[in-house]
Amino acid sequence: MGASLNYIITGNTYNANTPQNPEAGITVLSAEELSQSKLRFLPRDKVYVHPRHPSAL
Amino acid sequence: MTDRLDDSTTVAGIRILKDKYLCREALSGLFPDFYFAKCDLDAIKDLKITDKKLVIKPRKGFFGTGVRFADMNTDLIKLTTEIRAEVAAYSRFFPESILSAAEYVIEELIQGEEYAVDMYFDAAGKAEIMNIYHHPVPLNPEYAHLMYYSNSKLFDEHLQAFTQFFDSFGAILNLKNFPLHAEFKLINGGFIPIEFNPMRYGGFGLADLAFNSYGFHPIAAYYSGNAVDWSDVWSTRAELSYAFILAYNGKDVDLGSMQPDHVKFRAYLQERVEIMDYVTLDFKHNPVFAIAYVKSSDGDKLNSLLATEFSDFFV
Repeated sequence: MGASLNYIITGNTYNANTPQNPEAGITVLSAEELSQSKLRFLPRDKVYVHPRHPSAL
Repeated sequence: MTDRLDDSTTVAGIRILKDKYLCREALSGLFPDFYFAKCDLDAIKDLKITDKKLVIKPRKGFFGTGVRFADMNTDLIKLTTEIRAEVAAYSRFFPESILSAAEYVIEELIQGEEYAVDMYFDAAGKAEIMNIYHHPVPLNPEYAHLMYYSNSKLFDEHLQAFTQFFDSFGAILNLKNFPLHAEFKLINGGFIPIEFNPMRYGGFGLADLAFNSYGFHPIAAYYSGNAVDWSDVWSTRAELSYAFILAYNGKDVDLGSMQPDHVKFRAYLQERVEIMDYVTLDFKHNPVFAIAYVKSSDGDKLNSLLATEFSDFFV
């Protein structure tokens, strides 16, 4: 079993500190980049998804 | 997003949390006295409302679209017509998976102070609280998210209750490696959840309040599985309140000809509180022009910001 991977999917609103300055080991993708990829998230992976709508809090 | 997850438990958890009826069903064991039901739009006019005030909302929805309140004096035929028109207008832009036009959830109206929590379930399903916020009502309701603040009193009074709730709710849904932003109403000394936002913390940089206040990144904590020793955190800052201030585009402002005066707004803040960080935003593509992370040991001065009229900071 491989190591878990950490992903941040950015949204259309302000994405805060960590996605702008990701630490090593964090992959940051826009929603558009994700949709164009064939990436699949495994159960051991950790995913964080920023809001897409500019009024979501 | 869920179609990329090879984890059926996580996918099921996300779907339940985004479906207002399934979510109330999942919560029913923890809140057995809370009234909720579902019905089709055409059945709303036949509701028999007694003494409770109710809220009616699309089973899947966001942004308050199609949400209405009702009591025994409400004209339900008129209300149904209003909902149908509003949801139809928005349905042109959003699929059924985001906004359900046919099915509605009816639940008792919860009136009380609003609180929010950023947290994650770790690899074992244990709840780790990343921040607790009080979300006071601003003077102008159009600036609904103007302030979220946190302080030691909030943690002293509510950390244990929130941790117990999330441990129980997470066990019901079997959530692991899962961040969550949740909103609650405090009623009769107990919290009733009103909204869950899976796979994330509070948006628009709200979660950065933890970094500016306590020095840790909540997203990084989720990845590393680190817990926070809250008694240690507050031992060095017990007198301070920390707040996220969302600076809205003024309600009366012509955004085509006017722009925010950041110098004036910062000066206004600095007269009342200490600015920890200030982020300017593209006001032409957002309903807001800045985020300010502030702190104060004076609760009255912090609360005075709730009366901010953002139109005053456009020139």
